[in-house]
Amino acid sequence: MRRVALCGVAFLFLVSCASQKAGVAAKEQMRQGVEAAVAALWQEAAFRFERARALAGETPELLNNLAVAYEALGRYEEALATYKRALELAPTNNRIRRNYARFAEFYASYIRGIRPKGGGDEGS
Amino acid sequence: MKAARWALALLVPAAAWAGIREVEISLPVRPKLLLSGHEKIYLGPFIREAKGRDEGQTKLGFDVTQEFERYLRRLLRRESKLQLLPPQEGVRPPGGDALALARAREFWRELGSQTGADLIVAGTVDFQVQDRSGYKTEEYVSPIDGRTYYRQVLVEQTGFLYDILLQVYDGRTGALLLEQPLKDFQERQERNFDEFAGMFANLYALENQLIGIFVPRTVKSKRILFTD
Repeated sequence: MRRVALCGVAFLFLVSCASQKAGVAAKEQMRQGVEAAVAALWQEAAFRFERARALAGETPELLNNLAVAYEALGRYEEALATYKRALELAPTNNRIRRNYARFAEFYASYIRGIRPKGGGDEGS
Repeated sequence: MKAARWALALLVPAAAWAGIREVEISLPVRPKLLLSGHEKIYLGPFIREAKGRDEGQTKLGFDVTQEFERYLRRLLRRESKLQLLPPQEGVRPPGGDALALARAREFWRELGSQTGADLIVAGTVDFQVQDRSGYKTEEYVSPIDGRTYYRQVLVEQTGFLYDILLQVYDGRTGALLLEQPLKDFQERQERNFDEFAGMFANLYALENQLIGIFVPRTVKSKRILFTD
């Protein structure tokens, strides 16, 4: 019985160590991603943010960064979905809301350009 | 106490920016016209439509429409791959205002078939030089008694107003495809500032909007990233 308890404690210790390690690695990926973004290396930034998500799961801040990277890469549908997910997790975060508002404004006009107009541009 | 207030005033904005970085991203802006980029374009005729008063029209030492046409030709040659057709001799505008131009569908169709143009870019332009010099009230602290007085100061200014209504016609059907108004106002702190320089200040300010009608361009937009 004692042996089982000891094994359980050891297992929990290992799991917590591993998750702590993953958290540190995710933070490092996030930091490197931001550095890449500042240098306008958006492909690398998106890669780093995706790695951080795989390591430590979704946080609103991470999803915001990932959405910005998708936006910069022209992956607008993914950016939209990621911003929405970030706001689901942190609906009151004003910075994410501001980013999303700016994106939405651009995206609305971009989408309008793609869709065929119903003869609207033809001279009347 | 004062030092603490200063420290707080400095710390509050610093804390607000902690943990974030502002970055700039480039976003595409679609052109107003859906073009393949290699269409044949005929430029002109442009007419000068003075709105309100025409006294400025006689004063200028150059032809505004000719200058605009030359500028637009240079701009499109530099920024696009559109085929610009050479100007035809003796092409007279079918009217004296934008409405008359838009109604002359047959004229544009004929011009299109004569020149082989896919699109014809025409319209109206107006350029006004405004003497905006005048007296303005200014606050003045007397060095003798330290009291505040108000005095009238002559401010010499010249204003330049450029107003364009750009029209794009289909060279095959003569239909009006796009009508785009563009307007710019520039002010210079000098009386009798060179009108030619003033006009180009207007045109440079409108350059991005003008070229955005024909070719895609990008705009910079700011976003916030979290650092942790």
